[in-house]
Amino acid sequence: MINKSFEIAKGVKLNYIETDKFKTNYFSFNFIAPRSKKTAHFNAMLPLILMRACEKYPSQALLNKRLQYLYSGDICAKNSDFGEYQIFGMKANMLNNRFTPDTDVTYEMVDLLCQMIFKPYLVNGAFDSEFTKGEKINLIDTIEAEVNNKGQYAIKRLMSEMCKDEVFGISSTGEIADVEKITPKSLYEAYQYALKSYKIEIYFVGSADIDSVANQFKAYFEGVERAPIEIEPVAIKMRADEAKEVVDTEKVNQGKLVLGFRTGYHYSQNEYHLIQLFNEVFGGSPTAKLFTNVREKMSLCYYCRSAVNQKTGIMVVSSGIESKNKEIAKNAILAQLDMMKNGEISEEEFASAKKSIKNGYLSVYDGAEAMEAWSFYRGLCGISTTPMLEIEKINKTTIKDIVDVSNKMTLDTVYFLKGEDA
Amino acid sequence: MEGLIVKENKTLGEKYYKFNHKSGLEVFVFPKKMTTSYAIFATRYGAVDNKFKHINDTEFTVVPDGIAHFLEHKMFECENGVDAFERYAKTGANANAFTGNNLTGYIFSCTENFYDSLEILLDFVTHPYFTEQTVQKEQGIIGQEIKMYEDHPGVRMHRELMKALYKKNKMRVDIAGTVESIAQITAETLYKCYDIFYNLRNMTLCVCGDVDIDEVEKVCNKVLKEAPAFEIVRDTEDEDEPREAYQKRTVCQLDVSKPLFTIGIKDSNIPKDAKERAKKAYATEILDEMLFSQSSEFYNELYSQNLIAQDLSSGCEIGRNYSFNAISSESSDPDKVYQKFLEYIDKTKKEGLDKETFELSKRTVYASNIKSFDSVEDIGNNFIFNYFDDSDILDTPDIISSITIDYVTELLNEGFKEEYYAMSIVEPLRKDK
Repeated sequence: MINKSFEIAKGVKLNYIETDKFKTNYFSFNFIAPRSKKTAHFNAMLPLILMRACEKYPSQALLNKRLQYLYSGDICAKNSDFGEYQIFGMKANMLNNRFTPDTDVTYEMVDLLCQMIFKPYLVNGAFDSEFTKGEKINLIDTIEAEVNNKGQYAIKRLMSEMCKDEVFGISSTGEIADVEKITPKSLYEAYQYALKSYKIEIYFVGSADIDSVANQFKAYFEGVERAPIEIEPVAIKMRADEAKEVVDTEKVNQGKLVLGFRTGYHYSQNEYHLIQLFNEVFGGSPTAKLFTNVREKMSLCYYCRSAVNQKTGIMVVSSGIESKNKEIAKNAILAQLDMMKNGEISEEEFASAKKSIKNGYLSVYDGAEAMEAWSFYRGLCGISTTPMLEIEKINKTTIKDIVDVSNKMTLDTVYFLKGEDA
Repeated sequence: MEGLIVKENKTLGEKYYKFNHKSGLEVFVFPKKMTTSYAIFATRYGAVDNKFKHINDTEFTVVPDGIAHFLEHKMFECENGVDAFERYAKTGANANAFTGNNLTGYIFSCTENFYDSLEILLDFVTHPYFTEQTVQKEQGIIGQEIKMYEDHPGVRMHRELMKALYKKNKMRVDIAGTVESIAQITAETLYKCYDIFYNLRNMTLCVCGDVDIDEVEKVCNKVLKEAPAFEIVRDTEDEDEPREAYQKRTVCQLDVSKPLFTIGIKDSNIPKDAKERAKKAYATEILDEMLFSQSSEFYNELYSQNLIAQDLSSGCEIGRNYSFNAISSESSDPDKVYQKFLEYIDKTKKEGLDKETFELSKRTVYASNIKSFDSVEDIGNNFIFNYFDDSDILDTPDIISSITIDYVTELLNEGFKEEYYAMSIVEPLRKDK
């Protein structure tokens, strides 16, 4: 999928995905850090403080004016986790130059993002103390606000319980107590460390004179000392020990039931298509077993779905239910899995799951971020493939393969966010 | 092909074809070289249409709140027991549906077998099948959907704002209804609403992608039968709504970390002409960008005092019989934000709008609009929403270009008055345990 790659500096790669079907261009600047409790809060803060101001545009108002001038150019913070990695940085989206006759928007947006990253607004060799204070409050608010979205919150609680002893339980936003301790100076040191020590992946999707874009980035890396660290792969737990159960009680109208499974599969094995096909039959679509039985036949919920993390192989089943129906719902979900283990998968179900995945793979080509994600995450696992190649693998998969996958599933943790009235 | 029209906007590099199918359905085709193709089949029937009559009737029929949304769910069930999702599963399409205040839309996207999927879409939406048993089952599912949204702070805040702004306008009604209102729905009432509003003359099909218009017509020929005249009158007594906000302040408590607020600005000065309405909507967007964007004095003052979160969002909606503008964020002190808002608007009115800020904001709105033509789904949905309000997305760039600072200043002076404002707050639960 990647048309051209450039080595911008030591451990810094620019990947170009060329397409002229969009009216916009997209690019992203990603630091690849190890997932660690020691640094998660700093890494979460860095995009925020860098977007607050830079040397050339020393306030948010000036920065935003510049973006407005660049035809509603958009720069957002990025911060997410992927297995043992924390990926943070910024992404930008802007009109293609053919719609902006008076301005080379591509050039100016790359320059603006580089200004923000390489020429931050500093006071006496550290970030501005007011800005730091403000962004700390914002980050803490964001962490506290996780409780607002009950569905997401329940999944996060499950992960922290299930992966207590693994890095996968570490939150990419950091912990409030750690954020509170950040100072303008320690944040600046974290910034210097990131520029020197983390590998960096830059993606550009669209159509542009990519050689000159590469030169723009190269110029900014001149004089930056680079000594990128290697991140050790973390062993993945293939089977759960005895299943455990955790219940929180809150004043909510709807209970949230979340089940975490170990699947024994992950991207790096290059057998990911198997688990994806399994998921499609089990709970990934409106014709999946969970939807047609737990929702449609039993009328227990509005949503009941499953999703598998590519890097950790952890599958999460989530549903919103009447709190009093918890056991019924849990048993219904497990019963669907047992059916799959017993080979109760019809040719029809299987064929439609294949079609649905194929559709999803092909539509990757219609979104800049979807194309980036396709290459980026697989790249981190050392895999290079295209949707067409993956579709070939999907076509060759048999029902028996999926039954085998089902039999490797083990339930690790059940989390229930219970309404007070139940 | 009857009444074939081609319309093009060269600035955007976009065009569509339109024809009137003999069944009475209007069909729009946007050719777009994408891997994905998209279709939306929509009816001018939404949550607000709960009181209506045939032109010859004297009395209005009143149906339970939430019925349009309920009907949308039930349409997926088919008489032979195979539901629409199962049928789509054979073509690989990704299907869904949604209900709004004024419309219900059935959608799918796919990368292959487009015409087979289109046939399924047109077929299941034109073949209702409801029984008392399936209606009962759905009451459980939608009951959980309603409960899910009751816990959702953003949704709750918006609903409460509608109830504060409006005294009788049907915008007060929740799209999904309530657990009590949907309990009154029967198969018979569903059939009644279906027969009235799912008339092809009250519906539109829009497809977008690498699609052939003749093939689209063939599918229509195969599935659609000629529809009777659409002779329905909707109750409009709710349009007689005072300009002033009904309530000034409303508060609900949820398990949230920090208060969320939205300030609504009610408007009942709605242009009858659709183009004027669209112009007003985009001009309001420019004005919001000027007043509340991250470059604005208001945002920066409040943000630097940590009085609002990083996101201060603004947006306006102008329909035929309702209109409001709203700004929302999180704040530890929403009432203080409200005071600052009043002072800021006063000050801006006195000082007047800045020409440079106007130009930058107009540029932003213009560019955002062009960006919205990058996905087949966005094009299809935006087209339908605009078309049902008698406007056309291919006219948008020209409409935005025509907006002047004087026009926007008039919106500020005429539209921003304290009596039109209401604030809705979601605050954390009081911990009295």
